[in-house]
Amino acid sequence: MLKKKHIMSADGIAVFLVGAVFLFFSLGLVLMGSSVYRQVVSDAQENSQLRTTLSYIANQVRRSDINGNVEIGKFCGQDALLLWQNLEGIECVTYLYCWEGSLRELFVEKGNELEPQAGLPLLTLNDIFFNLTEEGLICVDALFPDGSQGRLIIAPRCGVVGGNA
Amino acid sequence: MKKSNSRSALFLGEIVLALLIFSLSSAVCVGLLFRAYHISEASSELNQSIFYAQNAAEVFKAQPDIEKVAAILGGEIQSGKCYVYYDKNWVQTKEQRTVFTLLISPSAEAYTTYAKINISKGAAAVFELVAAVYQEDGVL
Repeated sequence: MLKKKHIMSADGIAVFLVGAVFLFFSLGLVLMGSSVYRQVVSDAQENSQLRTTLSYIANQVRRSDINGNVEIGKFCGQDALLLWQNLEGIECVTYLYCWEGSLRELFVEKGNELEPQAGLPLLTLNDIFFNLTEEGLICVDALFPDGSQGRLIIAPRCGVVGGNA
Repeated sequence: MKKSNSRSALFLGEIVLALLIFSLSSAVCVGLLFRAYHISEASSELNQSIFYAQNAAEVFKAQPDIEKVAAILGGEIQSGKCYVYYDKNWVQTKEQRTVFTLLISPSAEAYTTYAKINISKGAAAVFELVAAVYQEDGVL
């Protein structure tokens, strides 16, 4: 009778141990999977925001790259990219700037003064800086909410930046 | 008693078999997770490399003189080529701590100046592009 009890308890311990090992490895696998998943999602998001933001700005500059139509300036105290265009004799400007955590775009007729919040929020962004180098290159430095930053250098083919202010 | 023992052994055997199958599946899952992680990392590196190579190409198109390119990008000239070094976070650095290297190799042909822009991680190439600038006055 005593022997039977011993055998039963040994079996119980073995089953418990095997179950515990199973549980331990399952938990480890789930934790590792979630960690890798988080990392992959974070990388994808970082890639996406970097690509989208900088490519958008580069394309906007290329679109307006006609002599004197691309300008670096300020809009309500913020660094801004000014893209000028003449629509049937009316001078219009597209401002690209950062306001309240968003890259914004505002298209207005020359002389119209609108508030910065009137711009259309396009992408999430902490801040953006536009600089013009001596060589005529536009340097765009973007700061993203996750702390990462990206730099874009554009050489406008028109060769002149500014002059329409 | 004998029947009870054999039933316990069978149960234990079943659990061990389940654990074995679980281990095999786990091994496959871990492999897939690591592969996903490495693909994601490679994708980030490629993404960054493309931007840095594009930036270098833009600078070269504005100034097709390798010394001026090196001055603007903060690189150094060795044997007529421009080298720019970056650490693992893409912060420009000295050669000793480099992870990524941006190499610009200029060449000229008739009226065109070329720059082969190569970004590598150690000895492995990550991204490469060729920029060309046409110069009316000729380069040779």
